This record gives sequence, C-alpha cells and structure tokens, in this order.
Amino acid sequence: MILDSKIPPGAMADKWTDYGFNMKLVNPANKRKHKVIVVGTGLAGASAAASLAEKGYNVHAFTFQDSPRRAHSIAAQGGINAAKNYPGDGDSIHRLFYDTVKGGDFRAREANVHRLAEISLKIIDHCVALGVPFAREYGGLLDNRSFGGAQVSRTFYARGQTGQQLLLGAYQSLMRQVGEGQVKLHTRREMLDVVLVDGVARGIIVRDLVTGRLERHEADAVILATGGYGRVFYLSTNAAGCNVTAAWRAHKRGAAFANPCFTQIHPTCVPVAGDHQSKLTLMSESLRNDGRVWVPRTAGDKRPPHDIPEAERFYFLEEKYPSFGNLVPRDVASRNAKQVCDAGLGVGESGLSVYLDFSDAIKRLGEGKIREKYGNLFHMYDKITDENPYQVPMRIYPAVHYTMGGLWVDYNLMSTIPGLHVLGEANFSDHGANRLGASALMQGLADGYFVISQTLGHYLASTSLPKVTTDHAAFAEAEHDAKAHIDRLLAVKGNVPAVEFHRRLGKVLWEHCGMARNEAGLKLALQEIPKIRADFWNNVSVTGAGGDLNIALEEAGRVADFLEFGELMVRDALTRKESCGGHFREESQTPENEALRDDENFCHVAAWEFTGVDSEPILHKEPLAFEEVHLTQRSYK
Amino acid sequence: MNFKLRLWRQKDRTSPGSFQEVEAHGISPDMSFLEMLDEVNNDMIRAGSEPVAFESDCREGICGTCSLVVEGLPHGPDKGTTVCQLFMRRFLDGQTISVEPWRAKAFPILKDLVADRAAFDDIIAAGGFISAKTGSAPDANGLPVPKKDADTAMDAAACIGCGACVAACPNASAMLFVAAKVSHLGHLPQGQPERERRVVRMVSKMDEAGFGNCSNRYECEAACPKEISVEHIARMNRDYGVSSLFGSERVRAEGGAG
Amino acid sequence: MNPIAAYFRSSIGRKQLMGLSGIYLYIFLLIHLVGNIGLLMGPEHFNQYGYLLTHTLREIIIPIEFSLLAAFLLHLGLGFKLAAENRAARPERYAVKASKARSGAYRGWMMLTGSWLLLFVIVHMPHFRFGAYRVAPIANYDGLEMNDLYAEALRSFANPWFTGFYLLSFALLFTHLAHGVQSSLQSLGVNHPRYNTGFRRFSWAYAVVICGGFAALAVWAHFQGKI
Ligand SMILES: Cc1cc2nc3c(=O)[nH]c(=O)nc-3n(C[C@H](O)[C@H](O)[C@H](O)COP(=O)(O)OP(=O)(O)OC[C@H]3O[C@@H](n4cnc5c(N)ncnc54)[C@H](O)[C@@H]3O)c2cc1C
Ligand code: FES
Repeated sequence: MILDSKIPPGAMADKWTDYGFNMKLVNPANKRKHKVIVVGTGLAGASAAASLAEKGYNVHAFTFQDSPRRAHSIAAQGGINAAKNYPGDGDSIHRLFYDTVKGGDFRAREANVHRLAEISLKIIDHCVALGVPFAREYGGLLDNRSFGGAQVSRTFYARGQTGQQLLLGAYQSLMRQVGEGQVKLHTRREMLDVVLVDGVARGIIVRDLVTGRLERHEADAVILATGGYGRVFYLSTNAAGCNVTAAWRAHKRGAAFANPCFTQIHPTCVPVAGDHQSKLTLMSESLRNDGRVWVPRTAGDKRPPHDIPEAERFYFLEEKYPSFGNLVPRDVASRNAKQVCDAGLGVGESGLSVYLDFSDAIKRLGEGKIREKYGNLFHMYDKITDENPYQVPMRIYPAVHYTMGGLWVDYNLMSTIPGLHVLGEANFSDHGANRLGASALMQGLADGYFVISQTLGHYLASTSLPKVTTDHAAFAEAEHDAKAHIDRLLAVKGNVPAVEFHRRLGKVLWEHCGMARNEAGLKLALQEIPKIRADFWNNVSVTGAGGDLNIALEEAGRVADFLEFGELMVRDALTRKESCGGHFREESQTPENEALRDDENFCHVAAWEFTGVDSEPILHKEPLAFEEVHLTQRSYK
Repeated sequence: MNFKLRLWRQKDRTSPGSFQEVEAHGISPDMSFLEMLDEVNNDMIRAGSEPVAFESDCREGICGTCSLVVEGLPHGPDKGTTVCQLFMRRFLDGQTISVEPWRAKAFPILKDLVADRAAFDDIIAAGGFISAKTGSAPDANGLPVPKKDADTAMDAAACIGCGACVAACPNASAMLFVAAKVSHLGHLPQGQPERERRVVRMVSKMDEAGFGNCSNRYECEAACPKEISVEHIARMNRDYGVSSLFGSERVRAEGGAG
Repeated sequence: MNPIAAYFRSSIGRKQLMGLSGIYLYIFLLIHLVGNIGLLMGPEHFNQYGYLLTHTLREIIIPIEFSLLAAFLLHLGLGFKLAAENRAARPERYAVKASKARSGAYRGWMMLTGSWLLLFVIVHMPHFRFGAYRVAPIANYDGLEMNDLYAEALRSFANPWFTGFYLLSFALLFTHLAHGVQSSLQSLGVNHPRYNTGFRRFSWAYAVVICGGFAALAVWAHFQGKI
C-alpha cells in the first residue's frame, strides 16, 4: 500500500488555487453520464450531493435515516468558524490555518488545513445565500463569537442550533436537486459494502431497512460521508444510529484507516446519571465563554455550591492557564476535569463532575441576557437533570464527542481504494490530534460544497472507467458476503441483546482508551475486546427476521463492526507512544502534566491496512512536514 | 417504577394493528421514555421475541426522528418536548401508558410505531429552498438583514420536521410544518425572488400528499416540540392568497402546474 | 391547471372562501339584528319595516338575498366537503384521545353547531321569510295592507318550546362564531401579535352583541306575547 498524499507543489497560499487550474475538467455535456454514489447525507454528504448535482453529475444519495435532514450534523450547537475577520480583531486565513494546525497538535497535513481556512470564507457566503439564519447584530450584519480556544471571534452561529440550520440549508439544496431529478434519493438504506471492480470502487451494497432486501448500485465513483465512530464508546454525544459500519466495511476492502485512536472528549457534557443511559448530552462549549469552571478546594466537601465561599473554590482552569482561562482547548479542559475528579475533588453524587457556574455572568449581564444567549441549553439541562441552572451551577463532565481519525484520504479526498472518496468526519481529517470547536462543520461543508465538487471531476476526467453493471461477479460476491453476515447474526440465537456487548466494549474503551491511556491498560483492552467479540458471536440474540424492518438486526450489525474496530483503535493508541492532542499517553507528559509530543518518532499519520479480523493489521506511515507553522510545544498558559 | 404499557404492534403497511400489553419493571425515574422502551425491548429480545420497532436517533430533541403518541399526545404530556426528552419521573408509578404511532393517511405506518414521513421531504423538494448555486454567492455581509427579521426567520427555522403537528391535528394537516419553512425563507431578503413560487408549489404538494385541511384548532402549536407559532400559518395563508390570485404570471402558470 | 382554479381547489383557497363567506353572513346578522330591534318600537314600525324590505326595496333586496343564499350554500358545502376530507386524512383514529391545546373544545364543534344552524335556517326561513308573504295575519295602516309580522312574532314566541329552540340556536351560534370569526381571520392571514388581543376582544364583543341581542329580543317577545 502506498500513501501518496498528492499535495500540489507551490507556495502554501497558492496550492489550492493553482491546483484548480491544473486539474482536468469533465466536459459539461458528459457530466450527466457520470453516475456518482454519495453515502451519507449529513453536512458533508448533502452538500456534496447537492453541489455535484448542480454541476450536472447524475447523483444517487443514500442514508440509513428516513430523511437526509436527520443526519447527526443536526445536533451541532455551537457554530462554524470562518476567517472572515468581520469583527476586525486580527483574524486572517493564515491565523485560522495556524490555530488549526497548532490546535491539532501538529498531526494534520498543512496543505489541507490551509485549503480549509481559505474555503471557510466561501462557506459562510454560500450558507447565507441559502437562507441560513445566522445570528445578526442590530445593524443587520452577521454576529460572531469566540469559541473553543480561539482568541479571535470567528465563529458564526444560529442560536444554539448552528448544525441544524447548516444541515437544513444543505438538505434544502439537496431536495431541490431531487425535485429537479438530478439526484435520486435512497432513504432507509444502510450501506453494507463497497464493491471493487479491478481494484476500483464501482458500487455499493445496501440493505433496504424496510423490506430487508439487499440492493446493488453501480457508479463511476463512490463517496462516503458517513460520519464519525464515537459510538464505539457506547456512551457519547453521538446519535443512537451513528456507526462505523460503512467506513469499516470499506476498510476491510482495502481502504486504510488513519489515526483511529484520535478521539475527542468534550469537556462540557451532562454527567452520566446511571447505567440505563443510552447517550450523553453535550452542553455547547460556548457556555465556557460565560460560565466559570470550579470544584471545591478540599476533597469530600459536600456542601451545596452556594455555601462554599469564594476562597474555598478551585477555579482550576483559570488558575492553571491564566491567559486562556476557561477557554483552553477541549483536550486540555477535559483532562483537567478528569484530574481534579481523580483527586477526589469532583462534585455530584458520583464525584464525577465539576461545576460550570453562571452566577457571575448572571450578576454582570442579567438573567435576561443569559437566557437570550443560552436559553435553549439551560432548558435542555433542566429537563435532563431536573435542576435549574439559573439557580444552581450546572454540573458537567467530559464525554466522547468527535473522532479525528477516519479513513485515510489524499489531498483529493480519495482513499487508498481508487474511486472511493471520503468526506466529513468519516475521513481522517484536517484536525490532527485535536479538533478546535466549530471546525467540524467547516470541514464537512468545505469537503462537500467546495473540494469534492472539483477533485472528483479531476478523477473522472483522468481515469478510464470501463462500463460496469450490477451483474458483474464482484457485485454478486459482495452481496453474498453481506447476506452471509446477516444470516450469521440471525443464526446465533443466543439470549443477550447486542446492546450489552456494546456497553461492555464501551466500558473497556472508556477505561483504557479514553481521556488518559497507558501501556498496561491498552494491552489489557487488547485482550478484552476479542473476548467480548467472541462472546457476542456465541450469545447475541437477534430476534425477528432478515426480510423485514428489524431494529434488533440493525443494532447487532453495527455492534459487530464496533467490536472489530475497537481493537484497531486500541492498537493504534498503543503504538503511538507519545501524547498529542486528545491522545494522552500517561507515559509521555511534561512536568506540568501536559501532553508531551515525540516529534522525532511520531510526526506522522498512522494508516492501518486490514489483514483479517483476528490478524494484526499493517501500519503505514505518512510523514508530516511542517513548513509554515513551526513545531512547538503547545502552551495555553 | 413499574408501568403497564400498551404498545401498538403492526406487521407492515397493510396489515391491521393492535395493542400489545407489556409490563415494564424497575424503571428509574431518570430514564427517558425511549430508554424505558429500550429496557422493554431488551427484555423481549432476551425472551426471544421481536422488539417493538420505534424510531429515534439524536435523543436530544433536535433530529426529529422520534415520533410516539403517548397517551393520545404526540411526544407525550410535556410542552415543548420531544419524546426522547420526556422523562419517566413525569409519570405515576403503576400507570398504564398507551403508545401509538403518528396516524395520518399521508404518513403510512411501516411497522409498529414507525410511520413514513417522506411526504415532508417531497414538500421541501417542491419549493422549500432558495436556489443558489455553490460558489456563486456574494459576500455574506453584502446583504444586511434586520435583526428582527433574522430572529423571526430563525424562530420558524427551528422546526425539526418531526411531524407532531400532523399527528396532533384533528385533521392531520401539515400546515404548521409547511408554514414554518415558508415563513423562514420568506422573512429573509434572499428568499424574496422565489417567495411566491415557493408558497404556491409547497401548498400544492402538501394538498397532493393527502394531508387534511387546517381548521385553526391550534393543536399543532401546542404539540410542537419547538413551540412554533401558528402566526406563521396566518402568514402563509396571506402569502398563498396573494401569490395565487395576484402573483406574477410566471408564478401562476408554474404554480398551477406544480 | 388554471392558476385561479387551482386556488379554488387548494386547501388554503377553500378555507379562505369559507372565511369570507362566513364573514359576509356575519355582517348580515348585524343588519338583521338592527332590523329586529324595530320590534321594540311597536307593531306599526316593525310591520312597515317588513313591508319596506319585501315590497318597496324588492329589486335591491332580492339580489342581496341571493348572494346571501350563495354565501350560505358555499359556506355549508365547503364545510361539509372539508370535513369529509379531514376525516379521510386520518383513516385510523387514535385509541386514546387527548389534547394539549389551551382552549376550548367548542373549536371542534363547528360541524355540529353548523349542522344545527342549518336546521335552524330551515325552520326559520319558511316561517319568517316566506311566511311573511303567506300565512301571517294582515295589518292595515292607512289603507295599506301588509303582513302583520309583529303579531306573528309575538304569537310564535309565546310558545316556550319555540323560544327555547331559538335560544338554544343562538347559544350554538355563539360557539360557532367564537371560533369561526377568529378562524376566518387566521385563514385570511390576519394574525399579528400586536393586534391579536384587539381582534380577539372585538370578535368576542361582536358575538356577544349579536347572539345576546337576538336572544334578548326572543325573550322579550316571549313575555310580550304572553301578556
Ligand atoms: C452534539 C454535537 C455537537 C457538535 N457541535 C459542533 C459545533 O458546534 N461545531 C462544529 O464544527 N462541529 C460540531 N460537532 C461535530 C459535527 O457536528 C460533526 O462532526 C459533523 O456534523 C459531521 O458531519 P458528517 O456529514 O461528516 O456526518 P453526519 O452528519 O454524522 O452524517 C452521516 C450520514 O451518513 C449516513 N450513514 C452513516 N452510516 C451509514 C451507512 N452505513 N449507510 C448509509 N448511510 C449511512 C447517515 O445517515 C448520515 O446521513 C458536534 C457534534 C456533536 C455530536
Ligand atoms: S431522537 Fe432526535 S429528536 Fe428525539
């Protein structure tokens, strides 16, 4: 396997523009003849499908949900970054680029990040034109806020529902193309495999989730935009249906999986209440703009928060990081919360939470202003916890939120399987080892609206693609495999619901491959996971039939893939013997307990090649070079 | 807590359905309604029977996937809440709770508690958008939007497309859903060029799909998890009347055909 | 399809016609009430008023009556049609019925109250509208013979069943209007937070005046007729 990043030559700031000129183009009249499959209709998928259809391609879009509007992008709250510099506070493309490379702890590709920063401007323009109701000032111009570790205000937002509004914008564009017959939409279809003909991705196998029928679809190119794999931890802020299935099956067919251990743990989530919990809820990071994070100074202090005098409160982020304070990047904030809780300072019944206190902000700005800014978040918190955050401080704890790892792609967003492109959270992304707040939406839309609509043309124009039909033996074989997998699940006939294995897997990963990782724990996890997997295949119960809408079967299929994928994640974490961003190896830290990178040995992307479920994968390395942003130890002091 | 559940079971689109009585034991008051159903389903799976099919995804009240009628109320008894954000502490120990799917001709039931809401997508495809090609937009601040308009547009845009409005309407009308989109885009300057065409085409698609007519009972507003106001319906009525009767020729011709 | 025809077939178009025809009938009721107040001014005044309408102004009144009839039939026809469609839009009913909306079950009674009002009109029209030409006793003022509507009214309302029927109808009319007026305004797109309270007060006041007025006259006629 060769990892050719295909980064264009030239100066950093000119690469993308020059590349645009050098790319081959598809004749407008021929675009219609190219059929393109887009799997996933979240921000990345919907925007890709819409813009490819606008350009004239014959697009087929697939989602497992009942409508493209349900994709998990809808849940993003806080905002989307762009280097517009509307507030005039010194932002620029270069600063956004710099912040993102540094925020990602130098584990992203510079050229990709620079392109992302360039495109960020156009995204906002386009979304406004589509009618996305971003927040505005009284003068009618767009409002910005600072967000998640940035010292400039470059985040655009639509109340606490930015992801929803951006997704609806892309969804509406997509539906327009559906109405015009340019896109054929296939809802309630779960992708189970990619089909390779002569080593090139030429189609997919999907299961119709209503009838249970397996379908074959052929195309000239396949695009995966199937989101992140955070649900491998079972408890996360991701939606119940988020999965690794599409990416994993592509991996099994030859797509390298890059940096699977890079996961983001978000500092501000509603703490776990009990074993029954099916998901965790994020409280937007924007809350850290006005809320102050603290715990009691003495362990075991059980007084209610307002009885604890100021002097006995430990505002740990403000004290440790005077210049960034509560706004340090997510990985730093999360790790510090864990540290204080490990030291016994945590609050709440379980001791696994810290306060996020708005009383100062309410005093300063008034309850009305706070309500206007965060009303829906406070309301949600109140509903879940039955506590009123206007009166008592919120309690928060970190939770799995985002996955920086994903299928390896080159500059053109193509994976190691020719013709298979990967967008959005599903690819190993431009965020390196840690994603800055409000950057995932930016990346998903950059990939979908602006990058793939150009690079795919280049691929199609420069590749000769013989005609393929679904009668081809490769389709029959892939369908057979998918069917065999389903039959195998139905045949176990044990008596344990799939979710129990999922919970067990999640516990192992959270314990040993979560906020802090060490060699012993990871090795233990590497032994545990195959055991859970074996147990799953002996005892799982999948009731109902295959030829029907069957939620037990859907869930079991996803869990089966997580059980294989989880092992790769642990292996990657074990192999990367350094700390960087969200990947914190306890063996590798500074005297102040900060992540300590090892650039000598690990300044690379780790891309794994599949060799079989129970056999060790092969590691390939894409070295990373930093020309513009110099490798330094991150400091937020 | 313990509950006696009456769950709607229906094999597929065409088979008749009926209630199945199930006991739910040892439910924590902090569980959400869906987590309670998860428990019940897991018990069924352990016992070798088929779990009740219901839909959910985000479980935080934003994706609009969850769709259960609890004791006759879409999304249950709380105001401004989706059923995934409804907690069991809201119910009485020992209570009998009936759970039904959304019921409307335009939302056929696929299985048990799963209804097909594709008609909503069709309505959006008919006109619920602003036509702007990728890459063609002017600078975002080139077109100021009065804050009040942007805020009203956002109020309407908050719709999550769950269909509770249809489920709650005595006539299974989709007016609130359609109005929310018409009003969202109609409040923005970017939405003006297609304003007339949009409302005419969306309404005609809505009628075609077999939704009922609005009789201004406002059950939709009361059931809406995002508390979208029926004022948007009035606005759509206005827009529709004006656009159909007095709109530009082009719109009228196309609208009629759409 | 012709765009105007499309409007008249659409859900919203038809609701707006419902609303407009309702409002038209509603304005008519006010005029009707004002005329009826003539009862209080004695037989001669009232009978002369009746004569004026049925004879002197005949050419103007008849077309107006036809337009009212048309509005009434349209209102009625659309009402039944829309209600039938609404029922068809939910072929399978909910097993449990409940409501989260703030106010008034009466909102759901439009079909019921409407049907009753149809019955009322069927009873009322032959009696007072057509009856005015035929069965009523004759009065004579300065040699001009005319129907003695006044006497007929008092005679009819002397019957407690008759008065009861009228009073009940007015009560139902009230609930019909209480929802109907506000609903018509909504269908026509009149809904603005700044004026809504005003509209609501106005439509209630109007309904109270109309229904209260007719009812008061019926009660007055009942006791007047008995003496
Ligand atoms: C709670 C929360 C808040 C967030 N807030 C922010 C924020 O404020 N700012 C920010 O920048 N980022 C935020 N993020 C991150 C960001 O929302 C996501 O990374 C991004 O939206 C992912 O978009 P996507 O298009 O890649 O994937 P998704 O939106 O997850 O879409 C995946 C699509 O793939 C489909 N799919 C998946 N598997 C299959 C399959 N096997 N077959 C068929 N279809 C399949 C799904 O149906 C769906 O359509 C947040 C994330 C969460 C969870
Ligand atoms: S599951 Fe997303 S709104 Fe309820």
